[in-house]
Formats: sequence, C-alpha cells, structure tokens
Amino acid sequence: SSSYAQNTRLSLHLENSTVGQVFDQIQQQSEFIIFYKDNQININRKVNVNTENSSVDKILNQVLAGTDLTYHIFDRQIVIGPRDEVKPKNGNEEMQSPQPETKTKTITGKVNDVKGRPIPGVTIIVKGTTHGTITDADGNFSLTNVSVGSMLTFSFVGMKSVDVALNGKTSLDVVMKEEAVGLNEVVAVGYGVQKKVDVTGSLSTVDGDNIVKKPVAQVSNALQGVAPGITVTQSSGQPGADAGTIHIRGIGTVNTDNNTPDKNAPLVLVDGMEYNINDVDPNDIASISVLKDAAASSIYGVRAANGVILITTKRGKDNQIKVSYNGYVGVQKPTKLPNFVGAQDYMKLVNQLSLNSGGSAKFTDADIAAYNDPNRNKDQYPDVYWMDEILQGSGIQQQHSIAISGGSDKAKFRFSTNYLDQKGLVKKANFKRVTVRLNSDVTISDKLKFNADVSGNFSDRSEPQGNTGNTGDGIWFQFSQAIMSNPTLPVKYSDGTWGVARGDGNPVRLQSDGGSYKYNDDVFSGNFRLSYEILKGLELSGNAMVNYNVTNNTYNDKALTYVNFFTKNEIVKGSDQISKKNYGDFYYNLQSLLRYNVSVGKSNVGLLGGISKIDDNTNYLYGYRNNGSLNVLSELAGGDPASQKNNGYSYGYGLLSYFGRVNYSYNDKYLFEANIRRDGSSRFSKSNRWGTFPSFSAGWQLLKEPFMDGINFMSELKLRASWGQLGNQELGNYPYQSVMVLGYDYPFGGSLNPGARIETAANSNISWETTEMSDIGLDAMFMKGKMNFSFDYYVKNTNDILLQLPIPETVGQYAPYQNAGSVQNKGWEFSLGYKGAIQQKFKYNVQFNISDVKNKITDLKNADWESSNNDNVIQAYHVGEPIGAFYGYVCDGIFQSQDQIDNHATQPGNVAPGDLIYRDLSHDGKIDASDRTVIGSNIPRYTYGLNINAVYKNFDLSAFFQGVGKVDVTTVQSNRAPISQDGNFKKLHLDSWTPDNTSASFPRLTSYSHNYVSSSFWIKNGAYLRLKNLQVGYSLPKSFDRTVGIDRCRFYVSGQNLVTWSKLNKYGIDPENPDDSRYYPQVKVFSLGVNVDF
Amino acid sequence: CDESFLNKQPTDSLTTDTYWVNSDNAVQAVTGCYRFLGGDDWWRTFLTCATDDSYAWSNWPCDIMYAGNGSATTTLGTFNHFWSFMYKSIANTNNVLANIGKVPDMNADLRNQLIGEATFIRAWSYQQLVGLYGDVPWITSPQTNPDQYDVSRTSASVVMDSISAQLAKIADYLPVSYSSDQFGRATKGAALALKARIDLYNGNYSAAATTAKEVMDMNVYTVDPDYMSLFNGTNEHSSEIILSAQYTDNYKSALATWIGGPTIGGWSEIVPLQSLVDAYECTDGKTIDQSSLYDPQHPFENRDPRLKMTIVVPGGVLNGDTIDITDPNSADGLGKNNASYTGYYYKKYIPATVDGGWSGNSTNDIIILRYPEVLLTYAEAKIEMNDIDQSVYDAIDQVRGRADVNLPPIPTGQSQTAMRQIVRQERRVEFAEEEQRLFDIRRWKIAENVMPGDVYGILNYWNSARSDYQKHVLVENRQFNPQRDYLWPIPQSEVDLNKNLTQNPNW
Repeated sequence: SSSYAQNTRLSLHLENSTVGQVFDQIQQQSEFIIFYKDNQININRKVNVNTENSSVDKILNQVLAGTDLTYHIFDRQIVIGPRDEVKPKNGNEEMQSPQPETKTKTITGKVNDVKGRPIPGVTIIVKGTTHGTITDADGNFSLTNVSVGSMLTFSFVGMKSVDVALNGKTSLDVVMKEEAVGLNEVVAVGYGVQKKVDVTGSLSTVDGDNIVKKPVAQVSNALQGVAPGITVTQSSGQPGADAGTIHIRGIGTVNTDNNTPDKNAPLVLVDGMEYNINDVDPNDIASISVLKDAAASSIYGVRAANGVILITTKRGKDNQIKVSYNGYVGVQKPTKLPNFVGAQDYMKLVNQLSLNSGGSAKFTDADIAAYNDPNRNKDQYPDVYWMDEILQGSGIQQQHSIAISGGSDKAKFRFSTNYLDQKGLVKKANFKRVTVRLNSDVTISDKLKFNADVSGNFSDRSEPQGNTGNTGDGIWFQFSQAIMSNPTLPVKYSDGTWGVARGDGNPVRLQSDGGSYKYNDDVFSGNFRLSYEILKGLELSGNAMVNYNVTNNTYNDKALTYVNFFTKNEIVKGSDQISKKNYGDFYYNLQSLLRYNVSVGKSNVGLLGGISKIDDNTNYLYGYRNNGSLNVLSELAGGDPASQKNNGYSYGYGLLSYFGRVNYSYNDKYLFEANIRRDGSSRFSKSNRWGTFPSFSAGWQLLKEPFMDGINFMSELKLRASWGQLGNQELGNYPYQSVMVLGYDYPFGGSLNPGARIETAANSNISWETTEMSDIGLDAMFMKGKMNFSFDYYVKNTNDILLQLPIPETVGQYAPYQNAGSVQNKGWEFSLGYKGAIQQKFKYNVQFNISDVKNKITDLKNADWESSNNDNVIQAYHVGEPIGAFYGYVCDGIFQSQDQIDNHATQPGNVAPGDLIYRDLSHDGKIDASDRTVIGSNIPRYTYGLNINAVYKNFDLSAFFQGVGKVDVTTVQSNRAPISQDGNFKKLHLDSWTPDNTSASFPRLTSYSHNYVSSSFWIKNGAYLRLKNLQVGYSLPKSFDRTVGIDRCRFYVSGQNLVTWSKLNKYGIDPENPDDSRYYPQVKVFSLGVNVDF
Repeated sequence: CDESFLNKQPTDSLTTDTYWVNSDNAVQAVTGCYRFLGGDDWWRTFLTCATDDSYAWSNWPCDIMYAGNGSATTTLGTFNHFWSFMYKSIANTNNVLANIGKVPDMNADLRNQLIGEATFIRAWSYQQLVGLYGDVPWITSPQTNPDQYDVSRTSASVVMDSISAQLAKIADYLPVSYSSDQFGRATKGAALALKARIDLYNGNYSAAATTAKEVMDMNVYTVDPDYMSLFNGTNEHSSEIILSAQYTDNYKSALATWIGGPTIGGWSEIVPLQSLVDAYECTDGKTIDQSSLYDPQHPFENRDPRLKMTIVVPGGVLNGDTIDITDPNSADGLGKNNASYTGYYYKKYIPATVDGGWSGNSTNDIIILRYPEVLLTYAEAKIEMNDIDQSVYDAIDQVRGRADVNLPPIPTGQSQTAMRQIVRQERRVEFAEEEQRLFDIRRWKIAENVMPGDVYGILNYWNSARSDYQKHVLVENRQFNPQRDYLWPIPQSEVDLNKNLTQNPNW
C-alpha cells in the first residue's frame, strides 16, 4: 500500500545538486528504492531542493517539475519515467482519475483517532474505484466528484480500516481505531489456515527467517528454544546423524522398545504431507506451526498425541521474478572433549587400581620413570591422546541454496535447490545432501485451481568402518575406541607402521585404510491438489500425496594386517566383507476435503469435512558376501559367491480416516471450534481397529467487550480454553499377532538349517493409547502490538498406554503390549516479546520463552519396574515418578576408615576405606536392592530460549540463547574409572581416594563393581545456558545494490554453540549429550555466509 | 471406502495359528531351539571364570568377574542373562511340545524324534538352571495367560527327578545316530548321558551308574586318541563327542576373541589361574606336591600332557605362533594391552583357524556332552556308593590313558576317600574350561575352600623391575560367603516382578 509513502517524512537541503544526488539522499533517509532507465532521465541535471518533513511525492514533484517525467509509488518502490510509460498498476495508488458520475458531490470531513486527535495522511478511496485523496496535517479532507450512494474506505497504517456509507451526506467525521500489528496474520492449522486472532487452540508459530538464520544442517535443530513447549535434544554432532529429538509438551508415553522410532515424536507435515522434518531445505520454509494442545491437533487423530508440526513452504508470487541465493561456509570444532590423563599418570593409576584390588602392580617404576625423559624411545614409551588423534577430518561445512520464483496471476512457481556438504571431525564421517523442490500454483478458472509440488531429497552419509560384522557402529567405534585406548598405545611407530591399538584395530588407520559404511537416503515426493469452488464459500478439493523413499545402506569392512613392531608377528584384524541393506518405502495419502464458510449477520461459520487414506509399504532386501576380491573391491560382486547370504521381507501399514471441523464466531468476539476424527488402523485387530478423537475449544476476545472500552495500552486480550482426545499407535506394525519368527537358523552337519521360534508374547486385545488434554491460555498485545505476551497451562493425561509391561523372564518371551499405563504431564508455557526502535536507525526485538512440564507416571497396573543397561544406568518406571527416573542408592560420601565400615550397614562386595557409602533406607542393617530409590530425572524442566535481534543502519545482529533450568544427568558411564588397564583415566581420577588423599572427590580405584553401581554419587546437575547462535550481518547500501542490479546483498558471520555455562564443563561433558561420552561430540560451527536477492 | 487395505499381515513370519501345518515347519521349530545350546557362546564359555580355574578381567561382554570375586549384587547382568536365556529355551521347547500334535499326518517316528529333541533341550536347560540357581520355577507348558506368569519355585531335586524321568522316556524316541548332514541333533546317547549327569548331580548314584553304564554298553562312543583336536574344530565328528553346539562358516562364534591373547587378536578375557596349572599331575601320575618329577624351576616339564594342550605356557606354540610372555617385547606379556592378567592363556577351544572380525571368528563346536564325562560319572557314582570294583578303575584309566595323554593307571586298592579325590582331580583337569567345574565345586561343597582369598597367576622369574619378581603375579582378592555363594541369586528383577518368587538365602 502507499501508507509507507504517506508516513515517511524527509528533510532535504540540497543546493545545486544533481538529480542523482537527490535520489541517493531519498534512498538513504528512507526505505524507498528508486527505479529509472538511464536513457530516460538526465540524472546530472542540477536542482535545488529544500524541504523539511515533506512527503516523498512533494519532493519528487519539485525535482521533476518542468520535465515530461512522472513517477509512481508502489509501496517502497518508486518508478520514474515518461508520462506515457509510467502507468499506475494498482488503483489505490492513483489519486486523480475521476470517474464520470451523474449525481456527484464534493465530500468534506475530518478524521480523528479515539482520543480526538486529528490523523494526517489517511487515504480515502471511493470504494470500488481508484478515486481518492488523503487528509491534510489537520486531518481534514475534501474529495470532489463523489457519487451520493457510494461508500468511502478510510485506511491508515496501524489503524483499522473503516468503511463509511455516504447515504447522501456530504460531511463526515470519522474516528479510526488502532489496529494491532499482525492482526491479519494467518497461521497454518490442521487442513487449512486460520487468522491468528481467531485461533482457539494452543499453537506456536515460527517464521522461516528464524530457521534459515542458523547454520544447522537439520531443521529439527533449528527448532531448539524458539517456542515454548517444544524441547529439542541434539545428542550427536555427527554429520548426517545430528538430528535433534523433538518432544512437544513432555513425554506422553513410556517408551521401552528401542526397535521402533521415538514413540514420543510429533507428527510432521510439510504442506499437509507426512515428511521427515530433516529432509526439508530450511530456506524453503515460509513458516512453521506447532500444534500443541488437543484442540489444535485432534483433527490428526491417532497420530497427534505427541503434537503436530505443520511446515508451510514458500510459494511463488505474482508478477515478480525473484532469484535468491543463500550460502555459507563454516568449520566445525568439538564443543567439549573428555579430559584424559597422559601415559605416566595412566600407569600410576593402573598400579593404584590393581594394588587396591589385591593384584600386583602392572607397571614397574622404571617404566613410569622412563616418561620423565623427553628424548625417550617413543616406540617403547608412547604417550598418546587418542581423542585428538581420531579427529583427522577437516570439519568444513558448506551450504548453498538457490531459489527462483515468479509467475502471473494465472500461474506461479517457485523452484529451489540446496546443496549441503559436511565434512566431519573424523575422516570419512561425511554428509552430503541435495534437495530440490518445485511448488506451482495454477488458476485454471476462477473456480478451479491446481497445485503441484514435487520435491526430492538425496543424501549420502558415510562413516569409517567399525567392528567387523557389527554393522552400523562405525562412528561409535571411533569414539569408543578413542575413549578406551590408553595413552601407552601408539598410533604409529617411528618406522611408519601402524600400532594395533585395541579391539578390532586402530581407529585412526580405519579412517584411511579401512572400508566405509554408507547410508544413502533418497526421497521423491509429490503433492498434487485440485480444488473447485462449487458455490461462493463452498470448496471441494482432492489431494494426492506420494512419497517414495529408498534407503540403501552399504557396510564394507576390510581386513587389515598389523605387524608387531618388535616381534614382526603379523595379525589380521577384521575381515573382508560387505553387506547391503535396501529399504524401499512407498507411501501415498489420498484426501478429499469439503469446506464451507458463510457469514450470517455477525456470525461466521466454517465447516470442514474430509476423508483420508494412507497406505504405506516397505520392501527390504539384504545381501552379504565376504573374502574374494573384497580387499580391493567394495561391491557384492567382489565377494566370494560361496559366502553369499541374502534375506528380504516387506511390511505395511494402513490408516483410513474421516474427520470434520466446525468453527463458529460471533462478532469476532466469541470463538468456538469443534473437531472430530475417526481413524481405522491396520496395526490393530479388526475388532479394535477404530477410534474416535474429539476436541472442543473456545476463545473470547475480551477487548471487544464494551466494558473494556478505553483500555488503550492493550491491543489484544484473548482467553482460550480447550479439551480434546488424541491417539498414539507407535508400536510397530503387527503387535497384536503372535508369530513364529523365521531366521533362527542353526547348522547341522556343517550347513545351516532353517529355524524358527517364538519371540514375543502377543495380545490381540490391544488398542489405541489415548491422550486427553485440557488447556487454558491467554494471549495479549500491548503498546500497539510492540509487546506480545502469551501464557498456557495444560494438563495432559495419557491413558491405555501401550506398554510392554515387564513380565517375568520365566515366560521366555518378550512382553506383549498391553493397554496398561497412564502418564500425566502438567505444564505451563510463557512467552514475552518486545519490538522497539530508537529513532529510525536502531531497531530491535527481543523474544523470550520458557516452559515447564512435570511428568509423572500415574498407573502401571502394579507393575513398576526398572530397566538397566550395560553401563549400570538404572531407570525406574514407578507410579508417582517421572518416566525413566534415575534409580539407585543414595550416596553419603566415602568411607574413611574400617571402623566406619564396621559401624555402617553391611554393603556387599570387598568394601574398604575409600569406597562409597550407601544409605540404608530400609534400616535393615544391610545394603541391598531395597535401599534403592529415585535419585533424579533426565526429563528437562524450565527449558527456555531468548532471541535478540537488532538492526543498526546496514548492520544487523542476532543472538540466540537456549537453556534448561533443571535436569539431572548420570555420569556413571562418562566419569567412572576403568576397572582394568583397558580404558583410560580422566583427570578427575587423579583425585581418587587413597590413604594419603582422604579428602578425595572420587572413590578409590578398584576392579570391583560396587562403586560403579547406580547411585546418587553419579547424578549431577545438568542445567545449562548456551549461546546457541550469534550472528552479525552487513547489508550493502541500496545505492550499491542498484548499481550492480540486485535487490539485496548481505554478508554475515555466524557462530553456533559458542559459549556454554554448565556445571558439567569441568568434566568435559556436553550438557546436551551428557550420559555417554562414546558418541560423536556436539560441534561448534563458525561460518561465513552471504544472502543475495535479484 | 474399501477397508481391505487395513488387513495387513507380516510377510516374514507365520502366526502361531497358521504355523503348525506340516512336518517341515515342525522340524524348523525344533531346529530353532538348538540355538540355545550354544548360540550364546560368549556367555557359556565364561562360566569357568566363576571358578578357581579361571579369571575374567573385563565386565564386558560378560560381567561374571564380579560373581567370581564375590562382589556381585542381585542385579548383575550375568545372573539375569543365564536365567533369561534358559527360560527362553524352555518357552520355545514348551511351544514345540504343546503344538506338535497339531501337525496333521506326520510320520510317527519323526514326531517322536522331534518330541525327544525338544524334551532333551528343555531338560538340559533345567539342569543348567538348577545348577546355577537351585530351586526354580518348573514350567512345562506355554504360558498364554498373564495369570499364569507368577510361578513359584520347585525344589531342585524334584526338577532333576522330573527331567531325569523325561529323559529316560524320550531316550528311545531318539536315534542312536543321524546321517552326516544332520550331525549335531540330540541322540539317544545324548539323552542318556545327560540323564546320568543329572542323576549324579542329584545324588541318585545308583541311577547315575546304571545310566552311564547303558551309554558305555551302547558301544558307540570311544575316548579319542587326540585330546586337543576335540576342541579346535579339526575333529568335530569324533566318536568321543556325544553332543556339541554347532558352528560353521556362516554361523560363527567369538571364542577366539574371548579366549585368545593379543598375538591371535584376542582379548584374553578368559584366562587360566595358577591354581588350575598346579592341578595337573606329573607324568608319574602324582600331584606336584607328591611327585619327584616336579621341578619348581621348570614347572611345566614332566607334567600331564593335557596341561600344555589346555594352557599356553611361556614358549608354547599356538597355531604356529610362539607365545613367550617372558620376552619383554611380546605382545602377550604382563601389563600389555589386552594381555592376560595371569600370564597364562588357554589353548583349548582356540580354533585351528581364526578367521573374521572379533564378534565372529571361530567355527569350532562347543562341547555339551562327551564320553569321558559318562565314564567319570560312572566312576564317581560307584565310588559314592562305595561300590569300587575294577570297572571304576577301568573307567578312570580309560580317560587318563587316552593315547596322547597316557598317564599311568590308578594304583588299585584305594580307599573310598582316596578314590573320591582321584575322580574329582580327573574331572577338573579333563574338563578344564568346559562347563563342569562350577557345578562340581558346588555339589562337592568345596567352593568355600577353593574360591576365597588371593588368586595368582604365573611366577615372575624374568622381570626384576616388577614388584612381584620371584613371586607369583597377584591377580585379585576373592571373597566367598558359604552361607550365600553356593547359589547365584534369583535375578532381582524377577523377584520384583513375580510375587511368588523367593530369593536365595542371604542375597
């Protein structure tokens, strides 16, 4: 609109300046961009301009006086050219094109705000024409040639437009009310869009710009901290495997089966289609809606219990061909690495450990003393920090994205492609991805519209080989080897031969000489939609969405020969072998929607009905060979045919759904919505297949009530309440069927015979998990929309949780699923934002959000249980406690004397001074299983994010902080000392208890287990605050842009994960990945980027 | 809308309702049960580390070291693992036995054979369970209803009586031998040999002797002249082997990784203790404290040949590599990465060919039952009945007199006490590293004598820089509580879940 032109006041004092200088001044003082053809304008013509607080048209009139040139203003663009070429393109912009009318009059009047102050610059248009005027400095206007029966539209930026019917009047006094910024903002909701002000459910929206800004490879990670109620945990920095886990409003179900994907993962839809969030190019994202409560998400029924993320991609716009390029190059560095000791300390600690355990010293004093000599024989006495040695990769990362968009009013398109190349910290641990997308919109007729979107995602991840035969742990092998390899093992000897290291070989050598594990993932998808407007407000649409996903994993191991440096004995580590796994998944979703919107008086009614069919089938094929020529070749054909193995199967899943929605609003003040969905899933037996999921919500725009009149500091105040039910079916494909599992083959007489066995007890009665959620919320805006505020409180009860309730091992099968448990999540979410400016030159906005969720298991059918893993991490599933709470003994420090041990409850094992003291909670004089209790929870609470953006002249800065206020981590895996000489000690183990160091922070070193059982000693405060991203940008001046023919050019430097405040720092533990140090570390990324728009 | 697409069925497995339609499927279900004999090799072969024979230094993959040194608690992974694994075996054999009758028109001999095989595997599983845990839940049919899950314990002796009776019954269902392409299936001899073991363990000496004699009288089994070949994969069809867990090229185990030392790429996780080395007699048939042939300066000379066939001593040769830990540059030396903590390595069970990555490099079979056990069971049962006739001496001498062992015969006219000691001594060295020792020291009630205290490795006579120069390497200090440690605890999670399950005393 021309409101910018109306509001912008310029002061120019230019004597004898060129026209060009005047244009430059205008552009520098404002956001106007002036376009002209050089051969049409003499920009060197001298003019005098002397204005104070003038509108741009006044100045232009002055500058162009006496020429045959005219100008036209489109928003912030000014086009200058000969009168016969520059035509108004948008009627509202043209103020003087009189319409021939028979009965016309001159209308005069005045426009005031609610406080009676005149408003200058208000645009007044005769509705349905291009005829109009603007108010003067006193708010007065006069408009000639107006037909007596017409209607005038008054508009002004920041004010709500007003239509006034003349009804014969010739004089009008009009009062305009302020309108909050963003009032007409539209957000994506289930199967459609809705004005944000009318939304009654709880949802958060994230602008695409917010996503693009962060140089992360996976979109999931860009969601961290941007909105309340969304928790993203990134547990690895490995290229291609660094996606974050997204949880919306806590953890709803008790996930005990690691074979299925995260059962607490939200449903992600890209333009309505199920999609992996990480397969989307962040540059393609226009906006993201996160549906959090039952009202917002229940229309997705059985898939919605964990919330829904709707991603809307960018589309082409009319009449403007735009090309944009975004790219950056960066380098990754680990955030934290464990602090290990060197060889000499290692040897001393091994001896300490061995002597403490009743064994002999393993290293002689002479060996230890040898390390005092810097010129020692390093083949005999190496001192290696393995964690650094394996970081052989460059860590260079780059991303390039190009988008071309444009179209006419009949057809629009947007094409985009993105190339990402991440080189890991470890050689061969790389990731490459190409995405392409073409979104097109075709208006076949006024009533018939067609959209076709096609997209593809082609990614290759690689890892160096790991343990032969243990496919898929290549990168884990690197880091676990680096942690377990002690400093006396050489990487290479002085003659260049490789040290054998431990286990299946030298991880550094595997990076250069070993095979690779490769994970190719190719996605092709199409989303086609045809819609027809049957009547005004009644639209029928059909949608076909297909997704073909091919995953091709190749695991190639090479046998490597190592020569003992001293004895020249040879050993071969690993073997030559290759296996390939191919998954082809074809998914389609057919959908029909019928929509009807009607207004009757002050009532608005919206109706939606739909049917959806999803069919998803996957084929699996496996092949294997070994030996042959596989030492040089890396394909199955190179292997010995006699060794070949193969396997294959398929699996499928289907979902048939009927759904509907009613929206009703009265006077934009009272808002109601009801949703219902009925889903039938192939995952349940016929009799339990169908489930119904309803929801209801209401909103009340309080400011529209008469009793709120006169409250001017607020521009919106909306109260929301909702209730609804959702489902969850994430439990594998055939959980209700009891099967004989094939493939348990066994050799008789030297060859395999087919074998089968029962594995899992079945339960044909299982059905949906049901989540019931109630939410109450308040949205408010203050200071003309400069400040926004939102608060939600919710209670989320998940019942009939599909649990593999532990059953005694004596049953001899895995536990069947049962609809058994209940979990409650209670939480609140709060966000507060402020947009401000200091003069025009410095603009800033600050957005803060924080949320909390309290998780509690409320029912487990009296089958509370604990699960434990190989690292002695015990997690409890107990009624009244959070899911997976840490469980173990309460530690009361370290025994200092035998006396103290004798007077304490009897602890099992060879207890001696220096061991941990466990509390006798059961008061029975002995420490046993009954003394264990809940000692912490790894469910984060008080997760928060703070986003600060500022622009000063051509510079912009953004800083994004993210943190967790309360969470417990267990360090029993990462901080425990080795129990043998295999493994390395950390610096904290130097402070282990000995009779000479009784105030030690760490218990005595032993080969016994009792100090390393789960206890509160290992539970640490995992709260952290992290400067997740800091970015400084510089945009070239517009005058420069114009001379090189571009719209915008911005350079930036960016840093990811720059600073972390955490109590875990001292242990070398990253708070986002605290429980196990054998994973690829989190990375810091420093990058340099450019955004260019043509 | 057509809903038929919602009726999805798995494509890689059959439901239990549609499975039992033909005999091939029945055979396949029984074949699946055999995996429980050995599929779990890395745990099975670790059992020796809970005895005075061996030591495990690592808590991964098996944390049995804590069971060995007495520091274990009821949540130890090993305790849960054996329990759970054996009950999986029992559930699968119960599934076969409950459903095999559904197969229509099945050949009666085949049906009986399959019933026999499944019953055998179930009996073996129970024998392992009662040996480790004492009284256990006795479950003999599929538990289809959660109401049936909380089964209480049945006394070990009742369980053993029951499986003994079942083995007696199904012995005749099983053939004496199979065609060579079916080698590895349970035979009549296997059923009887297992029955003899169970009767002996249960104190039914008369039944044990009678059953063992029955096997001896089958004249199918002999003592092989080549001891080492029985374990390294070169003589897997020996007439000495009654039943072994099968491995082959595309079904490998990781034995060489757990048992082998650095020179062959192993991790030395199961290594012999000095106590086992000392148990081998001298070539004169006397123990080292009795024999004049024993020279402490050359402790490995003039010894029972099984010592060097079982254990790698300094300078020993394994698969062509000389292993001499006294060489300061040996990769296998004390203190070297992944090297033995005791200075000794096992040779027994190292495959003649080590091929593959650490997790699958061995194709040699793991013995479940072999003929010398039958002979020594016969002898022990007769000795315990104090019915010591020449057949007892013959049985023991047959084992000691194996061609490549060739120890002198036991002098006749020994007392019951002396003979008891002799047969126990013979069992220890003959079956070293096999699964017998843990059960033996428990049933003989000698664990409280042989387990606690400092345990040692090799005598360090070459490295004067070490603090243990001229002394045996001190490995660890072990504790053994006679009121508790004769049985492993019922896994804690089982006691927590099954309200009818009681814990073993003092755990």
